[in-house]
Order: sequence, then structure tokens, then C-alpha cells
Amino acid sequence: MAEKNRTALRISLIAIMTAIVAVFTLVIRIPSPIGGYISLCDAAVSFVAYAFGPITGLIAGGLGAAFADLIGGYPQWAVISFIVHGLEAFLMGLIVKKGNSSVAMRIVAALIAVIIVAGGYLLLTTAFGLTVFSEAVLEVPANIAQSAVGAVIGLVLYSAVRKAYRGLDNLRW
Amino acid sequence: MGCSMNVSSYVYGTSFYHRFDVRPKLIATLAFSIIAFIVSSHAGLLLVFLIPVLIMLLSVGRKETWHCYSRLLPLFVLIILFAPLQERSGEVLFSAGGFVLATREGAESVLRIIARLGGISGALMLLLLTERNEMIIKGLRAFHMPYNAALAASMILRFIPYLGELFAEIRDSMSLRLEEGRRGYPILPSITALVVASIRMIPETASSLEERGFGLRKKAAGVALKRPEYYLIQWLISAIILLSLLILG
Amino acid sequence: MLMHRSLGLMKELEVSFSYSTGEEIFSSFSLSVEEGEHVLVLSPPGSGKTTLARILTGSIPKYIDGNIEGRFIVSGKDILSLDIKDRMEIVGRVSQNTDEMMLFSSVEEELSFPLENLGLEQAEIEKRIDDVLALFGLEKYRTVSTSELSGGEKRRLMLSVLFAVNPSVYILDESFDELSPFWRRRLAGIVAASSNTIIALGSHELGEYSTAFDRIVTIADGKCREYAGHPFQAVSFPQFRLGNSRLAASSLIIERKHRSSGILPAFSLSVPYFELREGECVTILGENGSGKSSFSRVLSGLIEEKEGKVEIDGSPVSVKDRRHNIAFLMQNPYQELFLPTVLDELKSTKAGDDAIREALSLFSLDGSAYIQELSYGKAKMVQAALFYLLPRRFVIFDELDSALSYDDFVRIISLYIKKGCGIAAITHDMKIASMLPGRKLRIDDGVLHEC
Repeated sequence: MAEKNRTALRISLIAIMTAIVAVFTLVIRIPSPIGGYISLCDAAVSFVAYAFGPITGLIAGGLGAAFADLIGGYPQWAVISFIVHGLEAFLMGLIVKKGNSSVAMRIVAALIAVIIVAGGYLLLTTAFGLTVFSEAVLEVPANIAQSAVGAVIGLVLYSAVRKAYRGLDNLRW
Repeated sequence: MGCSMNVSSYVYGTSFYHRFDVRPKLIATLAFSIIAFIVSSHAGLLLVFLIPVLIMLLSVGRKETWHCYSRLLPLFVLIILFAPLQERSGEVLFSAGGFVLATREGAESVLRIIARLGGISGALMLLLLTERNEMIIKGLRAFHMPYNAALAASMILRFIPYLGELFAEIRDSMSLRLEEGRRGYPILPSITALVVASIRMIPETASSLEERGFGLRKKAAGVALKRPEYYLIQWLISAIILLSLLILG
Repeated sequence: MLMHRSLGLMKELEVSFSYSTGEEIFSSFSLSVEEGEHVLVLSPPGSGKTTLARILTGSIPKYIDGNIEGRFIVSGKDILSLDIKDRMEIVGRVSQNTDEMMLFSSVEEELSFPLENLGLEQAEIEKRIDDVLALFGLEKYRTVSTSELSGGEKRRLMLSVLFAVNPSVYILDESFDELSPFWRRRLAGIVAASSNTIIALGSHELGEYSTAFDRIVTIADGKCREYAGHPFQAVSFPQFRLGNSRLAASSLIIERKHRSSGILPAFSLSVPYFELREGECVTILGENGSGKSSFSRVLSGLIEEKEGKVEIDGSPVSVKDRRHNIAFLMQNPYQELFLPTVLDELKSTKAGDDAIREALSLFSLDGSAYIQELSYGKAKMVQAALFYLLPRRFVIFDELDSALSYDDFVRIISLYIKKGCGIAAITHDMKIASMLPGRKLRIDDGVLHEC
């Protein structure tokens, strides 16, 4: 592509990827083996991190999760979701750089995602005094499952999308 | 069409809170959320919980109010169920067979959490219920939210329902191709298709922004928000309510 | 055509272009348009019309790779060397795919954004918005969310944006598509009355074109040629091969609501009786927003009816089971294609290699082509090939004619007739409807009935 107005491209990238994260969170639910549903929020967050790196990941991952909370009727969690998923995507994007994605690195990235999501919600919801500690602990297993499944699906999604859309890597910044 | 989604919680109305200008409304919501963390007296906490309920009832009615709070009920129940694990040492309120069910401190902290959670959720929902999304963004722009951030926010609100609908279409058409006897839809190909379609839109959208003059203006113009009647009185009312809450708490 | 226009006001385009994949689209394509002239470029899908529009506005090569050589002289200045945003007042387009250009969640923002960028006064912005909303019949839609608009309404919104900006050259890429007959006539009238230079791009002749344009050209072998005229021939379709199966619907009521605004009426369609026999072709005519698509979605099991029943051979079929019996070719082909290449798509039907090879040649497809890089028209051919391979007794085509040439359209319908499918073709184009064989149905005032 010829020299671009990077700002127009960045705004479009951020807006559309944020929408993707929000849609994955709100609309796409897969039945969980332990009952209930898993939202694919973390799959979208890790996809954005793998495909577009830490900065886009931080903004689109965090904003997408926050918008999903605002739209889905849980506005009280929006700030916490922004911090948790933004950080998750940022760290994953830092670890798995383009061309530098050995299996070990991917596992590390997935582990980081799990720790950030499960630990982040536990700490932040209780620190903000929005729930009791014991109830927050109860959410931990579900968050672990969701972020671990998400990290794996995000990776599979990334390789599938890269195959179908040539030129994906050109959109990184 | 298949499962269209609505990104706007806005409920049309002409109540006093609907007529409230978005600027005092935004500041009041923010201030209320902060005060909710500061307030600790019983009366204060009660008000933190009740003020949004009351305004919501007056502005959007019983059904919407119930709809909003019913989503929080399961969480409230869980918090109460887990209360016995909270603050185990202290003045015993209830016990069963020697096992302490609740201490005064425990009960108080649980009620505080519920009041705060309910109050903040209610205040934020109230904002979303009585103000169109575009107006919220315009209001934020009036408080110097960067132009590009506001632009991105508007675009996000366009793309969420669009991609949500696109996903529903993709899922539907996937299911049209299934063999007889199979149900549902294959998840991975569906989400891949959704992501590919959305990424395809990125350069197109960037071009569309520029074709409509994005970047032409060196400095973004100010926001055209008119001052409604009683604009200052609106500020005053919000300030009085919030201050008295602060003093009570 | 007026003769007094001076040569200095000519817009002269001379361009060669090939995509970075090597595919050559234009070789010394040259077109001169007079000030205020209305030119129609009529050529089959895939011949480069959208590429042309993108080159003129600058979307190519800035956002889509390619090798471009040439110039577009407007008022003595070469536009192709300008940045996209600096061309805004000189040339603007309405793209074929409205969703590609839409940016905001409300109609008002969509219109005010470019006008604010032009640095206009608030009063002027208000005036222009009011004017174009009135021009395109969207007065009531000002605060409506763009996601609630129908295809035709979105098209009119994007036309409104272009007319509000009012550049000297308008490019209308398949803008008559998706419009109802009423709005096609209106747009033709608006174009005819306009003093701006207008270049319209179209795939097939429409009755409305004759009144709106001074001149018709076509694209052949990457060059601009005079349009030889394509007299409307009576096409012959194969004989129906009637089977025994019947798809029937009775006493159907289908409803949809406009969500956030109380302003727009809820839409409802009633179908007293509908029958489609295996092997026959029926045409369903109706204006945009009349519920044609909703009806097809009920038949194909994508949405549920409010009342009534759908039966195959006399026994009711559940919503889910309809999907295995009735193919539905959606208007936008990309929504039904998910895999990287054409061959991947066709293989996903589990058809045998021979059948796939046959389908590739019947629908003139290249198996190794990437879906996301196909033109809209080609993608429609893939979609048609795909459902051709699936074992479905009934098929519904939703606006199959849009963005397809007559030849390809006739070819697809003929192949399905030969296969022995029961075909329901949905269209708002009278000409298409009169050309197709079989019974005609129409939706008037929310009721489907035989013509």
C-alpha cells in the first residue's frame, strides 16, 4: 500500500477490532463442559493481541470488553473489564511478537492471560468493594476456564484468519 | 435480522431526567459513583441505593427499573449467601449450633457492598437509559474528550450492531449448509468468517473516513450543544443532592 | 447533449491499472466527460467498475495495492496525484456496498461529519442536511439508528451524503440497485435534473437509465468503448422438470419492529397461501421493505413466523428442518462464504470431485481464487455453485439479479431449472420479473398474492 494516513487507518482498526471484541463477548457463546456458557471475549482479546500487537490489543481489548459491559447492562464492571482485558491483551501482544511465536512463548502468553483475568477480576472487584471476597473467589474457576479456552481459540483463529486474508500483517502498526 | 442487537439502552421519554442536560448528568453520575465509595453512614448508604431507583422509576417506569435491577439480583443473593464467611470475629448476630452465621461487622460490610454496587449500577444505567449514545459522546466532547477518541466511539457504536448482525447472518447461512440431521452451526469457521469480513472493512473504512474529509480540518470544531432552559438550575440541583449525600454520609 | 460546453471544462481520464496480484484491469483506459455531462458505464461485473470508482476517489492505490499509471484532469489539474481528502470537493462516490462506506450509528452523524470537515457554518450544515433528507425522503429518519435502516434506505442515506457534500463529479456505483422502482425513478429524475458531472456505473440495463444519461460507454479488454447497445433479447429458459414435492405456506403472519424509535411503523406481512412445486419457477415481486426477505427467511427456516404454518408434501416442517430442504441465496454473497478459496468452499459441500469440477466449469469459476478477493458478481457465482452442489429441492434467490449480468443471471436460473429445483426468485425489478418463466406473485400493502 502506498503511504497512508495512519490516523485514519488506526481509528478504523481500533473501532472495528473493539466492535469485534464486544460482539464476541455479547453474542457468541459456546456451551461449557462444566455447565453454563463460555463467552468468547478472551478469544477475541487474544486474537487482537496476536494479530495487531500490544498497543492495539490494549485499546481494542480493553474498550471492547468495557463496551460489552455498558451495552450488556452491567456498566458497573466496565472500568474493571477495561483494565483486566486491556492488560491481558497488552502482555500477550508483548510476548507473542510477529515471527517470534514458539510453542513455549504461546504457552507463556496463555498462562499470563489466565493469571491476569482470574487474578485481575478477583483483586479489582474486591478492592473496589463491589463484592465480598468469597464470592469473587467463586468466580475464579470460571474465569480460568474462559481465559484459557480463549487464549487457545484466539491462536487458532489467528492462523485461520491469516490463511484466508492475505495481507493481515500489513495492518499492524 | 436473525438476532439483531441494540447497542442503545435509551428509552424514549419526556421525564425531568430526560430533559436534564447531558453535561450536568455526566458530572452528576461520575460524582455520585465516587461519593458511593465515600459514604459510610446507614442513612447515606440507603440513599446511595435508593436515589437511582427513585429517579429511574420516575423517568423510565417500573418495568425498565425492574429489568435493570433484576440483573443484579443473583449477585446480591450470592453476596448474602457468602456473608457468613465475612468478618468472622465480632459481635455475633446469628448463630446455628455454635457456628457463627453472621456478625454485626459482617452484615454491615455486606449491606455496604450491596448498596454501593446497586447505587453505582443504577446511576450508570440511568445515564444510558435516559440519554442517547450520540449525546453522551457529545457531552464527553464538551469536556474535552479528544476528537479522534469521540470519532472512534461513534464508529464502535455503529460497528457493534453491524458485526453482531453479520455474525447472526453468517451463523444462519452456515446452518443452511449443514447436512440433514445435524443441528447448530460450526463455531470456528463462523467466527473466522466474521473476523475476516471485519478486517476487510478496515482499509475500506479508513478510505471512507478520508473520502469524507477526515484530516481536512486542522483543528476540530467545538461541539454544538445548546444550553437548555434551567441549565444552571440543573447544575444547582445536582450539586445540592450530591453535597447533602456527602454530608449525610 | 449540449454543444456549448468549452473544452477547458472537460474532465479527462487516462489510466492503466493492475492489482499487485498481477491482474490487469485497465490498459490505457481513456474517457472524456464534459462539464455537467451524465455518463453511464455499463459493463458486466468484474470488468473493473468499482476499481475505477476507487481510483478516482483515491481509495486505490492508498488503501488497496496496485500499480497505477495515468491521470484524471479536472479543471486543468491532475486529481490522481492528490491525497484522498483533498479530492473531496472534486470527486465523490456512493459505493456499491453501502455498508462499506457507512461510519456512524445515527443518520444525522453520517451527514454532519463530512460537512463539518468541510468547515461549513452550523446553519449551512443544518440547511444541507434538511435539503438532502427531503430530497431522498428520509426526513423522518434523522435521529434513527443506521442499523435499523433497510438496504434501500441505506442506499438513499449514502446518496444523501454525496449530494450534501456536492463535489463537482459524482460517481454512482450501482446506486440504482436495491432501490425500489419508485426510488429508481426518483433517482433518475434527480440525476437528470442535476447540473453536476455524473459518472454512473451499472451492470445491466435498466429502463430508468434512458432518461437520466446523455451517453453510455462500456469497458472491454481494459479499455473504454462506446456501448454498442444490447437489445433486450427474449431469452429462453429450459422446460420445467416438475417433481412431486410441494413446499406450501398458509395463513402466515410475519412481523418485525423498528426498535428504538416509535416514529417508524412496524412492518408486517401476511401470506394467505403460497405454494412452490418442485421443478417450477415463481417470481415474487415487491418494493423494498415490503417483507420479501423476511418471507424468504421464514421459508428457509432462519426466522420464525408469528402465525401460520409451513409444510412440505402436506406435513409441517419445523423451523430447523426447513434449513435442510430449502436453499437460500442471500443478497450479499459474502455472508454465505467463509473459507479461504473457491475450492475450499465447494469441497465443504461434501460433493464428489467430479461434481465439483463440473460446477467450476458450469459457473465459470477458478478453484484457486481467494473468496475475499473476488468481485461481488463473482462471489454470487460461487454462492450459486455452492448451493447447486448441496442436495436441496427448493431454492430461494434474494435479488439474484443485483450486480450480475443478464447472461450470468439467466445461466444460474437455467442451471437450477435443469437440476429440477423449485425456484422462488425474489426481485423488485419488473423487467427481470417479466423475463422469468412461471407464475408471478406480488406483495402489495403487506399481503402476498398471485398477479
